[in-house]
Amino acid sequence: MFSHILIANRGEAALRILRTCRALGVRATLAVSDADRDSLPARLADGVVCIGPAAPGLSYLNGPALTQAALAVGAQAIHPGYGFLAESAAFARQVTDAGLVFVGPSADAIARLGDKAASRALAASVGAPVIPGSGILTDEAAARRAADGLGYPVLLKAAAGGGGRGIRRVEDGAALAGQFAAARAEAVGAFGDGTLYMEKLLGHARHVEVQILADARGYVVALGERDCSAQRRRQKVLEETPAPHLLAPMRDALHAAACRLAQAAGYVNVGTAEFLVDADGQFYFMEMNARLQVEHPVTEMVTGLDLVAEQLRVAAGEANYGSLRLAPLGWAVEARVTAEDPDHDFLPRVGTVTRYQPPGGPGIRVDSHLTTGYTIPPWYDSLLAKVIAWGPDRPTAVARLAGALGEMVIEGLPTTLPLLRWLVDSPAFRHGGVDTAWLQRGA
Amino acid sequence: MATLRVVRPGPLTSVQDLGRDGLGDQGIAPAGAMDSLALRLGNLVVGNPPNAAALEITLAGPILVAEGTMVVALAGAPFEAWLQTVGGARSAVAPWQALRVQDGDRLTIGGAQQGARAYLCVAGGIDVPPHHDSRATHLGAGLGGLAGRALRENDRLPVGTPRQGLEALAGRRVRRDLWPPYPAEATVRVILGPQAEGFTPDAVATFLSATYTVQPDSNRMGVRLSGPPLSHVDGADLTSEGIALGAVQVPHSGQPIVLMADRQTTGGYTKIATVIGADIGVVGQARPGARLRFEAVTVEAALAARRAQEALVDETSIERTLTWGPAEVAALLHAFAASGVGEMELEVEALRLVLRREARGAAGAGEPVAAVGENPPPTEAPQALTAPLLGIFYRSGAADVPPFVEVGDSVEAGQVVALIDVMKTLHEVRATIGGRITAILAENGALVEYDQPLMTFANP
Repeated sequence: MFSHILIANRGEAALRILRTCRALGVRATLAVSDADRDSLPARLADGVVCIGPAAPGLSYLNGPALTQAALAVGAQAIHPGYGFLAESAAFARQVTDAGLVFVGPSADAIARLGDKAASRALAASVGAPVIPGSGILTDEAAARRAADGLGYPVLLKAAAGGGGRGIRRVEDGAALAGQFAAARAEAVGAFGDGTLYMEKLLGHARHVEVQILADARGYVVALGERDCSAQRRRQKVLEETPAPHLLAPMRDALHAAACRLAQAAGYVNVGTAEFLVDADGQFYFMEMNARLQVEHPVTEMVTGLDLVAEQLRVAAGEANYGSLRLAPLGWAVEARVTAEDPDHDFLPRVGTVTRYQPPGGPGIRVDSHLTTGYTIPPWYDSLLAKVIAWGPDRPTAVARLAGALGEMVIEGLPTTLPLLRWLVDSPAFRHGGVDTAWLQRGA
Repeated sequence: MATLRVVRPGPLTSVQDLGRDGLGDQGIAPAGAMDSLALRLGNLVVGNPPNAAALEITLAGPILVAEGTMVVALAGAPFEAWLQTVGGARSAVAPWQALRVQDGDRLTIGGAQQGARAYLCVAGGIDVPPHHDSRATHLGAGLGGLAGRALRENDRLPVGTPRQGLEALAGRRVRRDLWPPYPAEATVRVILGPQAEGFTPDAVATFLSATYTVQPDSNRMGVRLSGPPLSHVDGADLTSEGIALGAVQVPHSGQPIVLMADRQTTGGYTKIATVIGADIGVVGQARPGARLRFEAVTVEAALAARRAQEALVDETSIERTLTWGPAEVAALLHAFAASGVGEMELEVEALRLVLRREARGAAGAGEPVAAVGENPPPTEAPQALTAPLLGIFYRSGAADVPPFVEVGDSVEAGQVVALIDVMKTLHEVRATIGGRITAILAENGALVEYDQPLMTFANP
């Protein structure tokens, strides 16, 4: 195991990694921007290096500074967390070239899977169904031909996109020209790459993803699936495992497809294969996330594993999953609390937390970097806390989550807590199996 | 136990107390602070006994990180210094004043603005193991202090248990009217002898009227002076004898040397005079280039001066100053915002704070607004150039090329003063303001964080 790593992330993600380092006895130096010097993870880290000003482009996305910092403090590895540079093949390569270990898949695997069009081709090659769609669209005419073949409505997607961004829905042929130009401009602005492809829009589909764990020896294990269908503007709001009302043959097929895909990609470390499962019981591969996911705690709750610890073991070459026997137990549900104002079209809000009181009780886990008096900086994402509830069965887990959200207090700025309380109590969510359009339709 | 971790040692920083007396017959020199008055006053500020060990800082300072909560004070010559909290807030460190620092706070001491030596006193003292009842470092003998040597990077200095609570100490300071001056030209009182008759009458008259310049090869052993040569009657040599603190010996060259804390215990040069105890600190604070004159006084006058100085080291020399910093004001603001109170006024010494909750509907509905009154005159914050990006700091373009700038150089805004290497990409660091460089704080070839102070400037 490493004796010292650098954490190249902030907020809740940094704290999550820090806690595992503490448990493993690994010294953790945290890279912080100027805005995060006083954050909770900075106070808890074994060491702190300020890598740049608040703007993420100059700090958390500054690969050379992060690598230089890791070398200078004597860290052997860099954990990128999730978001920021977690899926940057260039960063992974830079870290490796500097003689350090990148805690995640290889740069080649990231590059192969990060290109959404290339990963679709890879999925097709291992027999995983992909959503009917196009290859790379060179121009509007190519897009029109593809859309005519697929049938409207379709989705235009940025090949370099992720996290639900860079996606535009096209209802009919009349809207295509405008949406194509807008999608290309958006992709250039957000990802620096205007490459687009197209997918058929599936009706009443659920988002089901499979967590995989792969060691350097070639063993790949599926750690179960997560249902993340409760999404708002393609941002996940509620996640749970196992997926409710999913029949055993479908579950097995998804797990097997995810493992085959990882093996074909030469994938090592933790990763997630995302699928859509439609109303007809057909499933389609969407993309592979070559990193730890925000919603990984639900998998940890039912498997008893520490996925960050597994990431470090794999990166240190110590993992061997050939004899891993999983005995998942019960149900886990996660709610993401964000600093967004549900009364004002979910505008992200910054402000100072004047009172913070996390919930507790049996089966409750809260991953959050909040403290009373903490000021949310305006430069980063709006995730404030993840509340995870475990129960021996789904009704118990959901009831515990509802109770936890009810007792949680975050004062000083608007949050999505009121919305989450309402969603968790809604009949559709209590029943389980909502589709990805549920929240958009107004629940 | 709290400790101080040494991030950068500075050119010469050592542990000193008042020295180990009474061992001269065994060949052990006393060592100890070069300006013992400054050390005693500094110890008084932080509630220590006068002999507690502190860090003696020479010309430019170390960078230290507090590991644990402690109270510190900077005594002696004024140095540029500032404190950076874990949260990144940076404030200038006022001299002669007890300052509470928290676990993780970083104390950066820059260059001396006047004088040569400052003492960083810590409540509880620097608790290295004593040697012959003293913690003073004798650098030449490798005795006492921290392994008998000057501080090095990554040293950890244990801090002793304070005699009183830290809360009561923070904010104590030496009365402003008692701060000693550290002039570049000073008069030092001496008692003539023990071998004044070994010099020509003209030589004695010259010694008492001429101006002598402190030489760069001065050290803790002796302060070497340069001026009109002093002629001996019958040569410079005599039978070796014990040497007192402040003895002004004159070897064959005729240039006097004032023997200081790390002096040899015996010597065989004639001594024209002896600096009185009350003025030893003046010599100890004379930096290279400083000019000294000597004035003969009687033994009675010397004793009176000594008694007057001793009287200074007394609780009556201490005043309390404002202990409210930005952190305290921020905490109060939070408490106020959370309370139902509509308006409050607070006056603590020179700070006046008015908090008022604006009526709902006005700008910043319900947000508390603060009006801060006249603050105490701010200590002049050093103009620091900070690292524009993280990387490895280089003072020159290559190993065999002279540095871009040295301390004392005057630079123009925009001039390249250093390089920062980020993964083999070199970035030029340019001065943001013009001025004379007073200290270079970052070490060549070491990591600098974003916004870390690199060098300090004085306006031309």
